[in-house]
Amino acid sequence: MASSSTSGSAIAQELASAPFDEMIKNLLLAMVAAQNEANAAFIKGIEDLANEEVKIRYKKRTGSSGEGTGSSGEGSGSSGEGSGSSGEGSGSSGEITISGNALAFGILPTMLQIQQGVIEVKMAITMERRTESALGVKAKASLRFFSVSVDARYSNTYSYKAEASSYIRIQVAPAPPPQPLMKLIEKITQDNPLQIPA
Amino acid sequence: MLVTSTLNDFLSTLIESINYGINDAMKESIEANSSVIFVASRIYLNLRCSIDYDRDNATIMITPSNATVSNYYDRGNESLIRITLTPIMVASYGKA
Repeated sequence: MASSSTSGSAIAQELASAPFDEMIKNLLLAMVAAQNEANAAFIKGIEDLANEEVKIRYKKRTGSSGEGTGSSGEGSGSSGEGSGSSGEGSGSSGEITISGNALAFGILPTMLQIQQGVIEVKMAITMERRTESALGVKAKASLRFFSVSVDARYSNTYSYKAEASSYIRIQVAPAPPPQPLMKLIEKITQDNPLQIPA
Repeated sequence: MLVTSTLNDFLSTLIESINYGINDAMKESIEANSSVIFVASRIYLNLRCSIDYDRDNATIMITPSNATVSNYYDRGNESLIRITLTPIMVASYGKA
């Protein structure tokens, strides 16, 4: 039984922390935010790889006669096809450098998409009854649900067993935006085409 | 204070809350021009509660389990309501 009103109101405060619909909304939006972060990381990955200069040097053997090959050409930079600096007349081999950014070497960032997600939350539900009255209208009582996740803190603070809690499990799957929004996105893309230098 | 509700009110409010949550999430995703939205393809609920029969009003009353109900009234853990919800798009109503 309640020993003091303070502890009772503390529980009420705790329980009132999240309306049930807000909880569901935030769980779904968290998935969207995670996917958008993953998309942003993918684009950042392209930028990082584009700025990542890679050089591969190797010695080219030109034969067993021991004759020097002399200069074989200059490095061509970012294309990754340059034959690089020459051998120094060592006779049997010349050093070749191939350079370019990581993208030119075929290293691509990985695009990850959440295919399916299952969110399971142990929670305790509390109800609040709100009475709305208007002039000349009979007072109408409406219910509101609040939920709190049952974690170690909640469980230990209120000696509440996790087995006694309710749970919600939401299976989520990605879906493309609605058709009108897709058309809008296409329009934005057409109005802002990629600027690719020749 | 122990708040109980009729099972009817409880379920309808629950479904209404879930609908609000899903719709708001979709609306905010669209407003944010997100390239992808996440839809809840299925929602399972296991609700620990107490279910009583109110003889005066001839209706079923429900008290969901939480710390207040459990510690102060020693209730809320006797019954279990299992619900599986599948969202149906409005355009699909009445179609097999």
